Amino acid sequence: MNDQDILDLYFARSESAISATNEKYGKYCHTVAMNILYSHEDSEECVNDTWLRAWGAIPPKRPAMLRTFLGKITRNLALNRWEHAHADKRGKGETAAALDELAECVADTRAGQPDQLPEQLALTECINRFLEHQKPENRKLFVRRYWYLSEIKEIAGDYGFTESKVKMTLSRMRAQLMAELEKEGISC
Amino acid sequence: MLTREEKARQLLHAMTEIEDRYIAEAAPENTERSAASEGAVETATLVQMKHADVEKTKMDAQKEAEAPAKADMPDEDRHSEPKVLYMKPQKRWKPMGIIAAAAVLVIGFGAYMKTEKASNSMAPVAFVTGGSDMARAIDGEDEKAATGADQDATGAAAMERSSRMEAGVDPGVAAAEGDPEMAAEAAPYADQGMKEVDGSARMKSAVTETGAAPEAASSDAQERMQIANPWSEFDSLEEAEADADVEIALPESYQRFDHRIYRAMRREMLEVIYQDADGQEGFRIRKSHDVGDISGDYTSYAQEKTLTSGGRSVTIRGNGDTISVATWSNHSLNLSYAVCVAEDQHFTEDDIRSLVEAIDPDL
Repeated sequence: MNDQDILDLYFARSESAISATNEKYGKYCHTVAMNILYSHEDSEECVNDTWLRAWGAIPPKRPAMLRTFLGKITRNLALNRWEHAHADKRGKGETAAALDELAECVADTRAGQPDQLPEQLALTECINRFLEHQKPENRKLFVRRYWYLSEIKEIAGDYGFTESKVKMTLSRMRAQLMAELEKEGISC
Repeated sequence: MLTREEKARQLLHAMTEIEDRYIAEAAPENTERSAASEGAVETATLVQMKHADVEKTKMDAQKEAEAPAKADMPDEDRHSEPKVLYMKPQKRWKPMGIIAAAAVLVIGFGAYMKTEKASNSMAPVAFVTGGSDMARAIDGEDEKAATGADQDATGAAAMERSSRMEAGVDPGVAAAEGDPEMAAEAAPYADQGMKEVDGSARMKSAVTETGAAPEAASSDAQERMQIANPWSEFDSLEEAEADADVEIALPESYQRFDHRIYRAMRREMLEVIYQDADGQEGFRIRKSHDVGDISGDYTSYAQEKTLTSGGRSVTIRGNGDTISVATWSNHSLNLSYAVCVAEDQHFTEDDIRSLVEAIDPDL
């Protein structure tokens, strides 16, 4: 069943829209959640919450790309759940590691620079611009690490690189992102 | 004021809304399939849907008639039907998980038995190096050996006999060798012949019959054991240098190879692998405090000659005008170098010469 058929089911308010979505994107969304939460049970709940959100959002929305639409919902839900669970302590998994790495891009507050990051929208736009100027290969590595929160080892395996190369590429890209954020007056 | 971690979290959240095409192109493979087919991941929705199907068959026509009316309901009403979506997943029997656990147990037990067997077979070797009488004592074939230190001379012979018997020595042969005692002892083992292939017997045979006791036995033992990778990878040259206890001057890049991987063998050797942007290896440079050929390349090349470069004598090996290996040593500083070119790369003498000068500029 293609995405349009599935969306038609949502618009017809047919319950089979959920099972069709789960059939096609259940594993994908579970992977997204699992990379963040490291728990099958929590990830399952997250995926179920995703279906609920999707059911509530479609209609009126008709996403152009159903997979990423669902992935974004799952990622947000999983991140919120992870933050709630780790409000006062750092958990295991790639989320904590990715946060440590991204902290490099937002150095400690310096004199004359804002102590708040701007609206999320501006940040996202800046990241989009940054990604647009990257080589596709590097961009994939970056998104796999910081959007999908995949392990370095897994990324290296999937793309046929050494772990060292992946780490080095990501490190360079973080430095570039920091420069980009600074250039736009965003980085603190 | 936001902490650094909070800012990183904001950044992580902001990442969520990046353009769909970037997310789609980086999506992990094999994730766009049924979760249900995995067996391990059965979502609540599917369970609920199955329940809904069953219920549907039990419902009366009135319920069926109400269904189309749902489409006309206002959004809030439709959304206020979470029962359609929320049902706790049933705990289901997961045979795949059980099978996987059983497989792990079987493999683990097999590995344990293998290790146990290897250690059993190695034990006598260890004792042989310390004293042949102890080995015999362990075998239980010559109890006197354990207490008789004065029997060293005869102990070795007894051990040889026992090991040869275990290895299936024909009593006839033993008799022909003029050793009636051994022939008598060997008789019960004759029918086993070469079927007796226990590792300890073979190892002891190797020890006693070849005469190269510890070396032969240890090499045999090594074959049975996994050798740990002695190389460690590092993110920076400084870290690798510290681990190898060797410092090196390196060209930032050479030709198109501008990506470097740093490896070290603790306190022994430093290695830097040069790759191009696609991860294709171009060559690797090694440096060590050992004097000698540290290239690790034992290929027989058609050509081998010595190149003189800035006071160094560099041995280069290769086929035709392609150089594959270059090695040189600095005896006064007790240092050795090697440049090993990847098989599919074409490096000429001049390439090697310029590399050598970049790596070892002191001489």
